[in-house]
Amino acid sequence: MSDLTQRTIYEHMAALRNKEYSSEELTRAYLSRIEAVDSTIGAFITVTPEKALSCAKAFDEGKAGDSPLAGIPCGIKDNICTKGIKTTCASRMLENYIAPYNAHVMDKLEQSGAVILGKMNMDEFAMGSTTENSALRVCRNPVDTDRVPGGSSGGSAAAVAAKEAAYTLGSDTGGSIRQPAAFCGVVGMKPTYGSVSRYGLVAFASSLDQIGPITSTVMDNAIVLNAIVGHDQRDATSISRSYGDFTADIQKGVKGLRIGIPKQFFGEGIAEDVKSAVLAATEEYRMMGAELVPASMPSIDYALSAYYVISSAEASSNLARFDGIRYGYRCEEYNDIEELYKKSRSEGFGKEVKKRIMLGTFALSSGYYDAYYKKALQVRNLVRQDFANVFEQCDCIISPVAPTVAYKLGEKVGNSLQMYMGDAYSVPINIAGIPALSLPCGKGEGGMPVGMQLIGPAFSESLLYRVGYAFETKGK
Amino acid sequence: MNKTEYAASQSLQRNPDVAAVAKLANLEFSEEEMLALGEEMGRIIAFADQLSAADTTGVDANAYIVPMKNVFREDVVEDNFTADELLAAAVTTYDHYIVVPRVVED
Repeated sequence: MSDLTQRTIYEHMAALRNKEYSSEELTRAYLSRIEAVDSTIGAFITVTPEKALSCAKAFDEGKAGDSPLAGIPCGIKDNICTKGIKTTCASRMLENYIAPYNAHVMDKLEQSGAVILGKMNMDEFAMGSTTENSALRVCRNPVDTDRVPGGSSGGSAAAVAAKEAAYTLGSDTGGSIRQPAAFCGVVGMKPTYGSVSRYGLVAFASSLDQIGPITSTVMDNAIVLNAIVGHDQRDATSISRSYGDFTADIQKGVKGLRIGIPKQFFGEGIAEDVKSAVLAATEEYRMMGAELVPASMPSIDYALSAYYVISSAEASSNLARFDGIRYGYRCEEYNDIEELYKKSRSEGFGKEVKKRIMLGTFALSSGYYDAYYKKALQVRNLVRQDFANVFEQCDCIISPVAPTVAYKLGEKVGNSLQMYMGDAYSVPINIAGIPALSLPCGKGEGGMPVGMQLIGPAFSESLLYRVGYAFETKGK
Repeated sequence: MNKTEYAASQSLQRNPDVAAVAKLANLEFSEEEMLALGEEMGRIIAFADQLSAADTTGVDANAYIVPMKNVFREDVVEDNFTADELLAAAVTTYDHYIVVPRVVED
């Protein structure tokens, strides 16, 4: 039974119900895998074997219900609050923090009978594109351990790629699910803003953050999103509507669909290997009966600037709560309350987090607010309008997720602007609040996976899964 | 002139007053850190100056992309946290209070 970890959620669902193996056997298989590889990969910050095994036993004894995810082991990004388990955000600030409550998605997973293996490594407070900003552990790409896994949900993507969990949850503020999924050769969904509750997700940029699944296959991804989507009154931006079953239309194919190819996503700055892999995928879609529609999105060039202004501004406001008083790190020595705040924050936060707080504070400060923050919000509307215009001509869009494949650890450290440029194709989606699915579409330099991104209008997740599934299963 | 050159020519660029921003952000840095941070922030701000080239005449500035409306619920008591649960994460507590340095002078 050593290869249990190689199977998909879809296969586990059938096997557990047919009693081919028990949830306990499955859970032990993943725990052994973590034991064997995670000292190298560094995908987990916390592993919770006792909790995992007790969830598994509950399933095996028929006490965990019959939801699709019941009895199947998963990992949770460490910025999603888990009652009784540390939620560190990969920061010294929260190194020992245990949330007194569950995030909404955790309530949902627990009600589904999911088996929680532990908490996943990430860039500190989800700020970064390589997981190198984790203050707690190095995380490596399982495809080539000299390379970064991407970020900020690097641990979540690496764990799925290394078969340390059947699936994981990540969070995506500017590409943090899709880019690590692309770098590690797995599947990641950034759902429509408001479709998955942010209650209990430690806030980075509240108007952009969204939780989503990372899985081995498109079908698995749809199964996990089914379990976590839905309205929650504890998140004021949560949207109440009927979300349906994301797997229902997944096999319908792409014949007759119109797929947009915006030239701005294939211009200056994209590596040749990525460009040719994604364009080859569009050609596959044409052969499967889809129509390719050339498109243009002139405002996209401004999206990255707008993103860094908006996300930093929101971060500076959200992270003001970490002051060393009610929870989190408190400095050892201080003379008064001001010094306690200042030293706790300066010692508790890492370099990138402090830089973003500073940028955001600057953008919101008197004299600069209109030129940066207000202007960025206006540009956000232009970007949204660009997408709306394209979606009048086509059903969805294909683009690369990132301009290059995964690069070497340390290669871009110390050059923020160059690092930020890597987010150019992923941030417009968050800016517009729409969904995008990242899935592997070939290999590039050094045999590293290339990811493509399927982008659709708000609430088009079912369509994106259908389009992604058609590619993933072509010729099968 | 392309967009980047235009932005540079129109640049609002100035290296930010790091000490003043740090004070607002409740952060402290060494002299050396401030120098490096000022330069790095200057570069990123120069990049953000590209925004000035976007024509946003008559465009709204919305903080949220989805239509936002007030959300109401019935004012009924629900199960919530106990003081002990909430205080468990604080560094030092005394009799259901969080201990902090003196903030009121004699």
